[in-house]
Amino acid sequence: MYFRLNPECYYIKGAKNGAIYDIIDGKIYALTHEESKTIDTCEENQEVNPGDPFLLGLKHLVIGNFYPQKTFIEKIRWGSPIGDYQEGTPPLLITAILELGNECDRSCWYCGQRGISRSRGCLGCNIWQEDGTPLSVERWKDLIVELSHLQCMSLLIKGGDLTKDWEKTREILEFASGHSKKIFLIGHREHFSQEQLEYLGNNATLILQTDTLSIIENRHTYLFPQDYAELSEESGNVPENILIDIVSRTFTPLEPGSPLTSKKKIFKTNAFQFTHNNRLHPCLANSITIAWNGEVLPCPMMRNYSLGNIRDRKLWTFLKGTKDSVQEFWNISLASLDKCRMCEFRYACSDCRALEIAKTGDLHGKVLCDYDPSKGIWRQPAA
Amino acid sequence: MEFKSQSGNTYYYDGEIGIAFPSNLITNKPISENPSQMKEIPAAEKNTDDLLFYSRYLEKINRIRPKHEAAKPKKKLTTEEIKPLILRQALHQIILGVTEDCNLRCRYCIYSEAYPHSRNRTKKKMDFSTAKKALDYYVSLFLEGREYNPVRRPSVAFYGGEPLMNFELIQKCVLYLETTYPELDFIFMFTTNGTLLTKDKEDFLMEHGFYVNFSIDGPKEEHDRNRVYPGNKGSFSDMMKNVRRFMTEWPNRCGALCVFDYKTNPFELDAFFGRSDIPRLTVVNMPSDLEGCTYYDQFSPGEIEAFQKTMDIAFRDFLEHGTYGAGAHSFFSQLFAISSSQSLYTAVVLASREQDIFPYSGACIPGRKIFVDPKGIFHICERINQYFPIGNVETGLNFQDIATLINGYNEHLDSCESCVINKECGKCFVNFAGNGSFKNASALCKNEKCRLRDQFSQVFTIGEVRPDQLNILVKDHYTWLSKKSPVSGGD
Repeated sequence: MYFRLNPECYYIKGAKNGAIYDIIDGKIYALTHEESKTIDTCEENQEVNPGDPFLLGLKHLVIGNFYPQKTFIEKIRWGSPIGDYQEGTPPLLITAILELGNECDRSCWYCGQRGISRSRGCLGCNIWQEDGTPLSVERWKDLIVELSHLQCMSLLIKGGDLTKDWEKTREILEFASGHSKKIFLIGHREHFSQEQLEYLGNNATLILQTDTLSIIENRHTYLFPQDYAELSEESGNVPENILIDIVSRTFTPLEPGSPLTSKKKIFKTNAFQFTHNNRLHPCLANSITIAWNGEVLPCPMMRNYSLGNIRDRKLWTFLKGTKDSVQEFWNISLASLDKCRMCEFRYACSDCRALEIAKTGDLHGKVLCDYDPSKGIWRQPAA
Repeated sequence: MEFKSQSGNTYYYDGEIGIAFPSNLITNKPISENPSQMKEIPAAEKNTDDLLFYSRYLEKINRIRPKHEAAKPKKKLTTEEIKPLILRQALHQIILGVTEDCNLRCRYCIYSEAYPHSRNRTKKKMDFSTAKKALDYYVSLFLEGREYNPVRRPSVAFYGGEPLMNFELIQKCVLYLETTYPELDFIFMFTTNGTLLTKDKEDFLMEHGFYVNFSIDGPKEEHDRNRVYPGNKGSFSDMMKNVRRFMTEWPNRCGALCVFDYKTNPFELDAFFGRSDIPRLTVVNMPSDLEGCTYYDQFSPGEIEAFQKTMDIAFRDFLEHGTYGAGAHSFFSQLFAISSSQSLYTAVVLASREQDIFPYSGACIPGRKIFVDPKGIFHICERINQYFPIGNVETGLNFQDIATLINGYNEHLDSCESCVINKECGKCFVNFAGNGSFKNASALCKNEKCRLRDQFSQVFTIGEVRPDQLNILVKDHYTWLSKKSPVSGGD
């Protein structure tokens, strides 16, 4: 008897153990070393014991099945497998982050200008201690047209207090509405009057920074900062429309079990994400950030990795797919990182390059992880 | 659609999802009657282990099945929608038909009398004024299109007839482009029968980074059977003299395009293409079987049957020994693994087809390649007949004509919506092009399912015996293709 994983289930090998990714159910099954060896045998189309309780268990989970003969399993996937080899395919741009401004009178303890690290800083309003002059409204409009030519799927508008130049915000937002089907807008809840919130909510999906859980309404998404030093088991128990943003200057001490390092980093998978993560970085890929002063960044939190200034250049020149373009960052798949290369969870794990750089000083560094793939062991929190 | 591998396994091709499942994975036919297998299954489910699996599996698969919506009227593309689509998705290559003349008279040439709907050989040559206008227009569109697709590289191919019969024009074009547009990194390529490739010409081509496709059908006897001069003298010796010299210096700058038919001895081809002095195989094909083609009239049923028997033996050997001669580059790897799996590997699963311009078939958007004939008329590609022009060097691409062509083409895909293999289909404008109008898919596609069934059977048989080999061969082949050209394959 033979046993093969189903068309929707992929076996990914790590240094010691393997994992099965079910791209329909979204589940990832971590295997022991012995179980991994069994699946190795199965996937090589070698005979197995039909009474093997592990394999029977997989069948019960609807992950694989027994076959009386050697069988070929064509895998379910996203797109065409030879698409990766077709040169000249236009880049898929899912999100462009546009920082319209860099002004704010608030002095939030977690603001980017304080050089602080945040697990979801990219969704914060943030201002920065940076030189430069703001891009003109006309340049922002041209940029939005350029993004529509590139078929950018969504715009994320942010940049300090957007009410500081309310007319500019309105003009750009209304222009963007004519060119983009999906617009997100980020600001601190206290920046906006109720009337402004109504207006913005009618033109964009709002993500509101707040320090006060009591003001939260169901109709918007909120970003709530949580001090790393004060994290507790309950920290994650919040309604779905609240995103917890873990904030720290150094993330020290880096104790095992933190949401930044534990199994919680591993997300559910799906066909698109699995295919995507095989080649590309799980977060940086398919996005580009234009800072308030025209600097083009791979991510709003990676301020030291500017690709150049857009003031006198067209956007496409940053997306040529060459060494000096944003795709260099997109292509940092986890499989290209030393620590992750041999990890069986590399196609489902989240990764924040900005945080890793803050901790290691290295674009390819990796310390925010409790798992040792060479031993197949997770570091456990102290009892 | 069901098909069987040679081991007797039955597979079911699910046209909605676009892959083939082992049929005992999705039917409620129990795989094992052995009750001992059920030991670990919870008591409540003991007697329904297999049935439960099938029902759960079908429920799981149905979650990714496209939703059946009420038939919508097909959207017609407007002229205004075409240009941005072309700027984004097309312009991958301009092909200059530098001459319609050729020094050979290959018997299966689509410009021969065997193909009544194609043009015949003429003495026409393109002049530099026409070529320059075509190139300038292509570059202008390419530059405009960078804002829509920044990763494309401009590519110029030279085609014939035999393009070396107008080598002077090739030289002028290359020097003109390099001088006029020094900031652009052009890809240059051309396809040749190799007989006129002198050392001087080779030096020029290599100095300017050309990639060369040689038409080579195999060893002398095989090559000379079809690839002949007027008067029927074979061209093998002249071709090989030049190819050998080329291969000593530039083995990675060329490939071989091989055509075979029912008189071919496949074992001899496999040994031949395994040699180190022969360029790597890029494509293997049988002569085009376009509407009205008479080439195949020469083969008797006995010859066809004998050839198929030989191929069966070759396939069994391939399964047993893996690859031959040149490994992944071998004739049998190309034929059995790469060509046969093309439908399987190019099929788009789960993601929707590009822009829904072509809901069915494998057609490229006109303008992906722009073929320019010696008179300066633009055509969809070098393979389509002359009845479907898309512009000319004086006025550029005609976006209205292109919209009309696409809409007309889609209207003729009358049987595709209900066709189970519509995700795998590789047919395109060339296949449906008649004398000025398109043929209906319902009239042309009668044998497609049989053809695909045979291909799937072959590929799934290889996959059963050598689960990894298929992926390795395909990956190796397409990686190599992508390095040599922005538009895969050659002609």
